[in-house]
Amino acid sequence: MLLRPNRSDARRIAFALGRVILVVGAAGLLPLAWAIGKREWASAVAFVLMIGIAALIGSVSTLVAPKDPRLRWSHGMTVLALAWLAVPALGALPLYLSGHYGSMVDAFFDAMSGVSTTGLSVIQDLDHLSESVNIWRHALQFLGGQGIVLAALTFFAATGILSLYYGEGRDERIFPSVMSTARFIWLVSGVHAAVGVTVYTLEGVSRLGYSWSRALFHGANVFMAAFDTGGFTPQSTSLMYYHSLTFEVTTAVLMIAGAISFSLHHMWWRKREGSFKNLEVRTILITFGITLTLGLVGLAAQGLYNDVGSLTRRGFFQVLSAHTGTGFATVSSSDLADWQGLAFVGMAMAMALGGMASSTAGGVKSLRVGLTVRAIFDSVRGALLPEKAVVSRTYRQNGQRHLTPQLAQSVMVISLLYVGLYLAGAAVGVAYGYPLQDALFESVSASAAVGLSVGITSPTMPVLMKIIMIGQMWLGRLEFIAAFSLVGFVASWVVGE
Amino acid sequence: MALNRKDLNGAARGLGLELAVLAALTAVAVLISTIIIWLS
Repeated sequence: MLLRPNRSDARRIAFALGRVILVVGAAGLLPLAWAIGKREWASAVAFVLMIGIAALIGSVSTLVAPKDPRLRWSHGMTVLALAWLAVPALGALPLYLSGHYGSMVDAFFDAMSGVSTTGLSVIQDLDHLSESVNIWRHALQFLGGQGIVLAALTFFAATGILSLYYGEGRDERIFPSVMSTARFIWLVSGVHAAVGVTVYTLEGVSRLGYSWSRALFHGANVFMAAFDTGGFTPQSTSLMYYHSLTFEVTTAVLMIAGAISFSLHHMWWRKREGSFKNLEVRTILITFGITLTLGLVGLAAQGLYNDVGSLTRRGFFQVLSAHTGTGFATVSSSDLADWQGLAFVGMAMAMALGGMASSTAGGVKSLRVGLTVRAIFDSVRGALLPEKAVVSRTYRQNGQRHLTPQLAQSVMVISLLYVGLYLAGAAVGVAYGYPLQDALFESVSASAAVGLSVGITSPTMPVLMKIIMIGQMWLGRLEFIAAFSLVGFVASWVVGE
Repeated sequence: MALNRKDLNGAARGLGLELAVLAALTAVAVLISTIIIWLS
């Protein structure tokens, strides 16, 4: 029997959701300031409107504040699922009002692509978008990558929304306190921001001939999209716009930094030994090696790049961008569509597998991949050994851990759900008449929060496909659990007693 | 959020390791590309 949620449950959820929305409103102050500084008055009005709505919702949520705002697990998951719908809905407002989107669905598509750190876009005439709205697109990626809830709990820790932390794909605490963990995440991000933006800006001024303001604009935006494995760029030609090896190398470092877990950052920063013995690190190095080899062999077999320099530069960057779930490209969508055979397989696998858990990357995640392979290996070994033999089911991840049947099962269920999501999206694409290979590529790219495109994603894409891809981005970023909790909450509200 | 000496050392070490990983991966990519181009 399902228990129907009571008013207290609803108030707790509304209160926490209001807090999260307030943070989004506060984040809107950055593009608002830029809009005022650059005299982009129409954009400034749009941001004032969005901030006003956020403030209104936040104030109303304060009015319904429960006596005890602490959230149970199911509350937390429900808030999370709703927040990841409400935030892009609110964030879509300035995008839609910019006039660069054909409909509110298109603006919501880009906002969801932003917060889920995917990077697919259906914007029209990006190259003439106002700077402040362009900053907002990238800020949405930064907000989503850092974790909307992480940002919220940094400011509202005392109001009992700490349980939300775990649902954003950050299921391990680096420090005993979640607040200390949040501080460390902001510290790592801040250091990378300082270094990354400085390098980009100096390159922009010294080599590309930009003004300081323009170089800072591009540097800050590309940093936000790179470190949070988002993949948006201020210009429609992605990183090709810059024709800069410095931009590519800096971006590659930031993509790696974004795709590794904050737990690994901590091990590296605090000089803890044994990080390269962890199952997760070994798995991602092996899968990257495999997908890179497949990609390079495929490209060479097609004869697309005939010298070591261009084969390495194009192949390596694209596979790295795919595996880290970023989505920056140094080749055009039409060129990417020509990557057939093994090159396609390598890219699709890299996108599907994704980065590390508790990072800003999407996809199945390397720890799940490693545990799935280990569980299969243990099962085969168990079947081959004598009946009475004891099979050791352990793995190394920050120390020796036991691979219990329950853990193996939950890991395989999530992995299978990702595979199902990839295939379901591809089936929809095929139903709309796209070639299977292109439909699968785009579906994996959306579900694994990558953002590389072979050209299907465009403003002229069927509306239903846009909505389905929005759903894929949402489910993929939430790793299913929070979405299922929301469904359970709604179901218990409707049929519960 | 002030950076203390321990944080600065950690940041330098972390960024250094990220660069080292990128260098190692690039070296692997160059090696694979060289072999593939040579074989073809």
